[in-house]
Amino acid sequence: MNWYEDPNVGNEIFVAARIRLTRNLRDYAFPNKLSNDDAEELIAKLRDKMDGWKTPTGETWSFLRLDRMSALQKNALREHRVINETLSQRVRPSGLYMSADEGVSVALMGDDHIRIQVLSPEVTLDRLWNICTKIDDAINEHFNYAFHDRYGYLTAFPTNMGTGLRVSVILHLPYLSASPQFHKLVNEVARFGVGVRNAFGEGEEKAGRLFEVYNQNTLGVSEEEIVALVYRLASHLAVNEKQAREQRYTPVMREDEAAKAYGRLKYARLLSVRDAMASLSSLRAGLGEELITLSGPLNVFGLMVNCCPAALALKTMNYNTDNLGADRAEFVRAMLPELL
Amino acid sequence: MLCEKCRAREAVVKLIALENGQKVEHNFCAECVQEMGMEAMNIMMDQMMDESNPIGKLVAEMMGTMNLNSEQAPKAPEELKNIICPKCGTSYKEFVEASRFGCATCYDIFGPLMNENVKNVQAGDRHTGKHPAYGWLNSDVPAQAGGAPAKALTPKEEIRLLENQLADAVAVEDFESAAKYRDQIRFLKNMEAGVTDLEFFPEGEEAAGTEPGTEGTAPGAEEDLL
Ligand SMILES: [Zn+2]
Ligand SMILES: [Zn+2]
Repeated sequence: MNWYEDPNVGNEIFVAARIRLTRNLRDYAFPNKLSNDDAEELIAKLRDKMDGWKTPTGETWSFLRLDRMSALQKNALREHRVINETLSQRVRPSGLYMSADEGVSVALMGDDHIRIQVLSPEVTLDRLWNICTKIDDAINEHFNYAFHDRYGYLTAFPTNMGTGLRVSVILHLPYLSASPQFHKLVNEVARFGVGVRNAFGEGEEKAGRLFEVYNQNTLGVSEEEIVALVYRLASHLAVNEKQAREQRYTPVMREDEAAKAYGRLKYARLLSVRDAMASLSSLRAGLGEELITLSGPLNVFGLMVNCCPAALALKTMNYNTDNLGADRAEFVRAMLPELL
Repeated sequence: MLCEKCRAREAVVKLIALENGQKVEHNFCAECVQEMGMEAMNIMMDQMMDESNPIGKLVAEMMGTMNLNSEQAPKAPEELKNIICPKCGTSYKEFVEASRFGCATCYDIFGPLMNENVKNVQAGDRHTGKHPAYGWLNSDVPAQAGGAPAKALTPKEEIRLLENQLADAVAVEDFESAAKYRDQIRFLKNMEAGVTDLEFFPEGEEAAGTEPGTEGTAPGAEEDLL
């Protein structure tokens, strides 16, 4: 079971958290300027130390060669948020350490030599930062990092230099994002150096109304300051979501919205990504507020992740893309408990 | 201020976008922003977030504003265009266009050109967070008076530093220094393991390096480390 599929996780406004740490080794050019031979050598050196490690949470991890994986597998990993766009398209030597639940990973030879990432349905940022920094220290015991007294950890992009840290919290903001104040609020938040974006990009997935709140600055702020800042502004948005839904809709209207969404998911025979995301979002809001009750636990976020095209194809083992709409409807139907 | 789209209602939302390396300010009313939807907003946000497409042309902006500041721009633009990182071959043009460093040395080459402008796109112009426990001494960390490193070393850090120096010495076939580093590493490792007697060191070497009043310490170990 992957980290986002835990059925006992609730459907609150706080959905999940992600912490990513970027590092480069001192004595090698960054991946874009690295020859394939040097990249292979560097991967071999890192593997020599890291293969037998356990994660700081005590899990084992396995090593995958990204450049030898199918495009479908890599796209699914991107949809699961384990790897980014660059890594999903890498055909040059690149690798990935990943725990069985995909929650802890270290990618090698993406935009930077090393990309440490922790994903969790529990938004306990201090704990996640701790896991990242421990992996960071363990690697550093064997390898010299590219570090500069003024610019901190040196990264391929100036947007990561300094701490190399990106902290993000995924929020479910169905009512706030539809309200006229949302854009103003996003601007306010940006003044603190915190950005808000669609958590699943600009495609049909954005109908899920999941937003990622993240630090924009990496230089001139410490790791602890970044963690505290992102949490504070994510909390601010969560409070505004509660206000937005109560100010604009009565409880009956909100219950109605969630129940209708359940009906669409339960009886649809074809579900596009947009349909699935929009209805799952409404259902999630109703469950989070406990306006509707199901006969069993349901992790709606996990269902949303698995409704993305590559993830769904892998999950249902059906690779005929013509049938994805029908497969998605069937998959969602099978996962839904009864509405009480 | 009136909304620049409808030119009818009061603008309440200010958007700052990077266009062609310039910070451009847009002002819209709530209705027009709503009409444009999250799309416009998110595309802008996306440019700032996506690691593969960082902050539009961030570096271009850093460099662009630099030229206005004549006393801080010691070189003419024409000369800048010829700069190439000696380690990875990244050219000035490539660096500005891709907003991307090619290696650690690029920071030494192109970093000074960014100057104060880093502050415009980051929270500050100096790293204030975590430092690596190992291996950062060989970068340009300012030394304190007397040449001591700015930060006290733990035995583990000293061992790492010496191992680097040992590798460097072996690489240039300086076996005399290599032997010295090797012995220092052994000494520190023993110290870490709680071995305090020094019979580990070859007798002759110990005798030769021991001066009156320094009995019982390893030959020159500590002095050399600083
Ligand atoms: Zn307008
Ligand atoms: Zn370079």
